[in-house]
Amino acid sequence: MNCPFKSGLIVLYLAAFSAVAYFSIAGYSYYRTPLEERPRHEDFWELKPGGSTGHALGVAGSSLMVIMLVYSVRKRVPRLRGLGQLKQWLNFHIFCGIAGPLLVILHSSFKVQGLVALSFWSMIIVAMSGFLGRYLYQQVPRRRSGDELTLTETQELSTVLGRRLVDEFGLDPERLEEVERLATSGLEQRRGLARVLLTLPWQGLAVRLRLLRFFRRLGPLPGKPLRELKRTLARRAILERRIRMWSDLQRLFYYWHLFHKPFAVIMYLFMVLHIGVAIATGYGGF
Amino acid sequence: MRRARGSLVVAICLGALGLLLPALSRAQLSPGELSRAHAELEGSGNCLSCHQAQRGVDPPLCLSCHESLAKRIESELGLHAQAGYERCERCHIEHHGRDFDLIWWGEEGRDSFDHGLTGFALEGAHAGKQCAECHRPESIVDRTALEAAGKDLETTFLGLDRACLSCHRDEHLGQVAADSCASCHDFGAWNPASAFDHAQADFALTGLHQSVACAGCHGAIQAERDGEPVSTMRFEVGAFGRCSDCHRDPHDGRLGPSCESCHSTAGWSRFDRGAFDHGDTRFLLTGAHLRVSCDLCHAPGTGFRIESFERCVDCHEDEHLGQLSRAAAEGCTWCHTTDTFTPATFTLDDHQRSSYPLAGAHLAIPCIACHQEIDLGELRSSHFATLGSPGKPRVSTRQFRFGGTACEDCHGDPHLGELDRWREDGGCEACHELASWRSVSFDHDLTELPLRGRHAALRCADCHLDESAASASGPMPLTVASAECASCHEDPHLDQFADAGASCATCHQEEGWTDLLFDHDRDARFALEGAHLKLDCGACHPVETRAGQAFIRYRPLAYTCEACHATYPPGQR
Repeated sequence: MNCPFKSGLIVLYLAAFSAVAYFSIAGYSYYRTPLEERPRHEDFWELKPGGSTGHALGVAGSSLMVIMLVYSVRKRVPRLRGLGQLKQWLNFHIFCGIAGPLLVILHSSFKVQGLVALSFWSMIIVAMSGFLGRYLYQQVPRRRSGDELTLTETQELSTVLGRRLVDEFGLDPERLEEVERLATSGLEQRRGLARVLLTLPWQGLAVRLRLLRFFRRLGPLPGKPLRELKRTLARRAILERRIRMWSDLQRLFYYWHLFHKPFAVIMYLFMVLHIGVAIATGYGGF
Repeated sequence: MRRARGSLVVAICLGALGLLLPALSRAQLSPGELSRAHAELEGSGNCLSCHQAQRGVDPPLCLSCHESLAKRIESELGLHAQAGYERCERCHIEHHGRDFDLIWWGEEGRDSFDHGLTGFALEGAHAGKQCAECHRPESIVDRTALEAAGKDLETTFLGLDRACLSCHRDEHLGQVAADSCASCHDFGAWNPASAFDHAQADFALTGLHQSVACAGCHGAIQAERDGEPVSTMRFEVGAFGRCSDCHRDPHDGRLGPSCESCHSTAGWSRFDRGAFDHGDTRFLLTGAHLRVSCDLCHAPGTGFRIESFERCVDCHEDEHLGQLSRAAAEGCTWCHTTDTFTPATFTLDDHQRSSYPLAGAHLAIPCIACHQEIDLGELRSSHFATLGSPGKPRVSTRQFRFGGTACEDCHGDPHLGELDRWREDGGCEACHELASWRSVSFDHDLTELPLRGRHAALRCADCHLDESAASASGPMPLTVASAECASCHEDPHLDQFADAGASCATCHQEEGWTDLLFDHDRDARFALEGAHLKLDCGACHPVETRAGQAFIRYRPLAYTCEACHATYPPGQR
């Protein structure tokens, strides 16, 4: 990720979280008020969903929700391939997927009723699933641009890294195999996808702990500095683990899409419906 | 592969929607349940019954149902016609559930609602009322129309009329116009009718009329309402142009119909004294009566009515204590006028017509010389034991009645009874005249000593006044013991003739002492002859002195020559 984009993204996050924090604090009294008493609250006409502030929050949040679709377009339209790195668009997509729902939650003033509730809860589901998707995204080996590597490309990369460890770092091949076993431990037997999903974080953590213990036992090596050795060794070990889990990860990512997209569609569908009704009932403008 | 995946996504979406359809069919697009009042508008198809694009909740849409309210707004009546109340949803907030109260009365609640915003400010007694005390179904003017509009008469705030009688009973039973309550009453209290100004009525209240209770003039009307007998004040009081239309005339019409010429409404007794003509009464004020204050006759607090006033003594004390019987018969004006008590108008002519006409000196003396102030006790004891008793303690009064008209009744007897024998026949007038006491016309010839000669020229007092007993103003006793000369005159001869048998008249006469009747030849034993005739008397009768008193020696004398001449020288004899 280049620096200007990263800086811009940080600024966007800061701005979004500041706005959310500000409106959360300013509207704390109103949001804490029971629904039936809110019409008597002094901030009602500002913070209710159709109020001056509430309406603006809704417009801002839904606008981010719409803008975040640029990522999907960029990803699916080949002609837009030159329009920035996909990874950057994903990060922007993630930013919109975090800030947008937060603003929409404030827009709703925590009052979720009627048909728009479907859009709301779909948004919540989509947003939460986004965190899972981001995790699964990390599990799939990619180029720096964010493009996905194939299994062959991944295996070739692992071979290159193994050769480099032996040739450049003078690592004993037996040690390399030992690391490979540490990384792939527990993957011998076939497990259901749900179990894979649930144990994936713990398994990854366990592999990293085992590698740390291994690194402690690893004595001083000649040549390249130990730090570079450890990093390369860990990278290859994780690659080996992901090669072994390749099929499971692909299937999980596939099913994640099957989960993420329909709710996103539902969210957009009812969001459009909600906006349409709002406009039709006289809440279209500011 | 990608196409299959896309188809799968679409299939899942449709499946999810299919699963949600039952929920969608029941779900609503609205942000919340409508209140009970609008429950019939629930449903996605009714959004535009209240909402309109670009305008949100559109008041005309609200008023298309709330026709009763629309009419009031069109007529610029009530709260909803006020500026700032154009947006229905600002007060009537919807989509908060069936039980949500659509009417927002403000922070202080319904009881603190400023009813003035409706155009009918609650003032006075209205201010403390609860809503339901006025907003009652039976007070709604056109119940049928509201019921037709679907209004609950028990809860609606519409339908009341500002006319007082739409809520209140007509206490006056139709005597006044139905829309004129406020011209007399305010919102503070029904009674008193503080806005009523009697000055605007045909009979303006002034003076004491202002403090008289209404019912004091306005009687009651008896009528029936709802089968119950009711009573209320009658405003039409009939004739009221004259005082006597309401008040009894204590003068019984004697002073005419215009009470206001003397009296005012400030009070019956506080009449305009300047304007009052006492001549209108049965007692015309004249003289000093015009100058005295009313209170002198009409004592404060006793009213103005005087039971008896025909006679002066009805008011005034009889200064003369009943001495003047004629005054009792003819009135005090016989002698006095109302101008002043003194001097009296009793003239000399009047006195001359009295039982004691004045004459002589009596005409010249002041009245009080006879009519003196006399001790009351003395007056009673002397003459009038039955004199009337004065109203206040008195010790004296001027005397007008006397025991008699004889001189001595007033003057007494200066002669102390010495002349009673003369008064028996002619009284004092036998000697005195009324013109003057000192003008005496006594015939002395009737006495033992008729006055002759020098006696006739003497004043009475020269002989009769006893200087030792008389005084200028005191009694005048007459001290004449007898008609003898010696009773008045001294004997200058010192009794030389006592044994001679001669009286004074032998020699003297009344024409003069020295005008003698004496004849020496006849009356003396020694006749004068010769040279004796030429002699001076003193030559034979010398002056001698006895006991210091000189006298002329007349006898005894010696009748012999020698007795006189012996002492002469020889030869002369």
